Amino acid sequence: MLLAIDTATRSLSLALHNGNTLIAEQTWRTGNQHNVLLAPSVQHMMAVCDVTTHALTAVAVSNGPGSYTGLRIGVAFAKGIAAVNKLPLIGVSTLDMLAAGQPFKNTRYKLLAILQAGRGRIIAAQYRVKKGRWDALTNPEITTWDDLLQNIEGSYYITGEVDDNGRNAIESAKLEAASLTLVDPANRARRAGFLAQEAWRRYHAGDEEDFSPAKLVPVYMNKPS
Amino acid sequence: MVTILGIESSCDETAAAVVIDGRIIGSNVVASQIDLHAEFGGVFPEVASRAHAEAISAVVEQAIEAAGVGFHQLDAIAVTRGPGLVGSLLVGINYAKGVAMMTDKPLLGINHLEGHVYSLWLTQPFREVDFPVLVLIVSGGHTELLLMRNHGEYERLGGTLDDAAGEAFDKVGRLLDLPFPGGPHIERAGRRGNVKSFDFPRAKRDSSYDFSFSGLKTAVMREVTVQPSAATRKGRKKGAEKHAQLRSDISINDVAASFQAAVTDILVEKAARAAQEYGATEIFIAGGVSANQMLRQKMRQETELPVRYPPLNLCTDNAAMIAAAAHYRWEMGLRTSLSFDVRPMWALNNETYHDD
Repeated sequence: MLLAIDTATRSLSLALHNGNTLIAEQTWRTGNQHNVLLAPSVQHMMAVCDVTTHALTAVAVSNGPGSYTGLRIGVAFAKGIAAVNKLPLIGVSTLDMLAAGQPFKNTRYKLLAILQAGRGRIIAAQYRVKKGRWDALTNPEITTWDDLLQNIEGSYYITGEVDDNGRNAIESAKLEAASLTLVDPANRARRAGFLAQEAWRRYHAGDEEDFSPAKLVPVYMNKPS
Repeated sequence: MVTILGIESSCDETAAAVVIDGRIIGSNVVASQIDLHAEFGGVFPEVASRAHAEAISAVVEQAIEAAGVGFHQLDAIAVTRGPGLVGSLLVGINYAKGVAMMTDKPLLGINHLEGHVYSLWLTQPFREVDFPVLVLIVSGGHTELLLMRNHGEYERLGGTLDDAAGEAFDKVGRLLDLPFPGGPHIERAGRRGNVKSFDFPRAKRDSSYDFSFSGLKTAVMREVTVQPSAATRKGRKKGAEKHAQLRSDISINDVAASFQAAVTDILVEKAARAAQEYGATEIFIAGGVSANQMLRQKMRQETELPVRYPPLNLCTDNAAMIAAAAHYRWEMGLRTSLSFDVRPMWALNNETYHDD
């Protein structure tokens, strides 16, 4: 059983996945309450699903980009959980987690995955369909809606944290003939079920990757300031 | 036998320790970030938080291994809940919550200052304590004078109104171009200097038990730096001491010695007077500045009471002291819920654990 935790931004998402079936998933907007809500919520979710601590065999956490404090709460909690029974800890990029949850009705479309970065800035990465899943085309970068939409060509799905500024920028860009489709709200939410799925895939990919908790470091995008 | 894992990440040390019965150190691991902060001349909060998140796994695993216990053999998990830097505290707290949830062992959120107090219970060989005792906590973040009437019973007599004593050491260290942290380097320089070269002010020389060190820092700056012209003074910002130009005709050793004398004089004078007024049986000094030899020596001279201070490795932040404090709180019945929040400004007094 894999426990997946995402506290990278203002939403909190948790999931339990046994490799074949998603046993539980919850996603909600908490504001800045991650530290207070995370541990009791995980404990409660495990209790109602009758999953004991001994049943856990792996832990997954979104390891950035995102809010520095949010990321560290999730990563530190996941490290503590993994330490006790020496479980593997699988870190997945917050944007990869988002992309993993998106359907692709039209494979000619690329995908823009978005996180809010504060002060009108966003973090964005592009994906394209490759071997039946979204594959990263660019590294995450800090940008603004205007800069982002001016510098893309072709057809895109847009997912993730799209605020009013984003909606306006998308509408204006559409008038200039760009082919942009804003994904539905349920798919735009960052859901830990997909984090769990992506983590399973990587864990069983057979690469010689080291999943010991000490190796996991959050991705911050910026130097400390 | 009660075995407690302590975790500490309130400032710039990532630490974990296993303590048995509040007295015996099974292991005590500290990963210092001094090198990371040296280039800033002080603790840079975001740098500290990042370093904690990176170091925490290895530090705790090493503490568990060195103590020769397993996580499931622990009786409780203790972690510093405050006071301290929020981002730093959150790393230790959430790691501890993960361990507590997985082991199903009680979790205790401990006051960092109380941890410093209990570093005095880790001195070997163990000596019984006859309450009340006077406790002076002096570190980079704190200067507190407390009367401890029993385990967990503290009357706060006073504290700093501005800079902590250790902060004054760091700031003057920066002025003198000495490496970070200022304390040990000022002490080393001061040993070769004359304590009477400069008559730096002893602030708050009054009947209160409060302290003030920011005026002293300014007095040192005025003495040792080239005074800026009116034009440059206009654009001066806070923290300008970093860029002030040192006078070339000044002996750094003499400044260090005289500054150290001023800080320790006032600490010792008030601690000794408080101990007498409140009928304390002993004086306890804890925190990073308690490593200072001049402070220890003067305190012994100033009072006829026994003076206790921790071994050098327990003066600065560590997790053994958190586990030791947790032992007594565990006995008093403290159990903190998994939902507990950080307390960055948490005072130590009789109401400290009131809501828990």
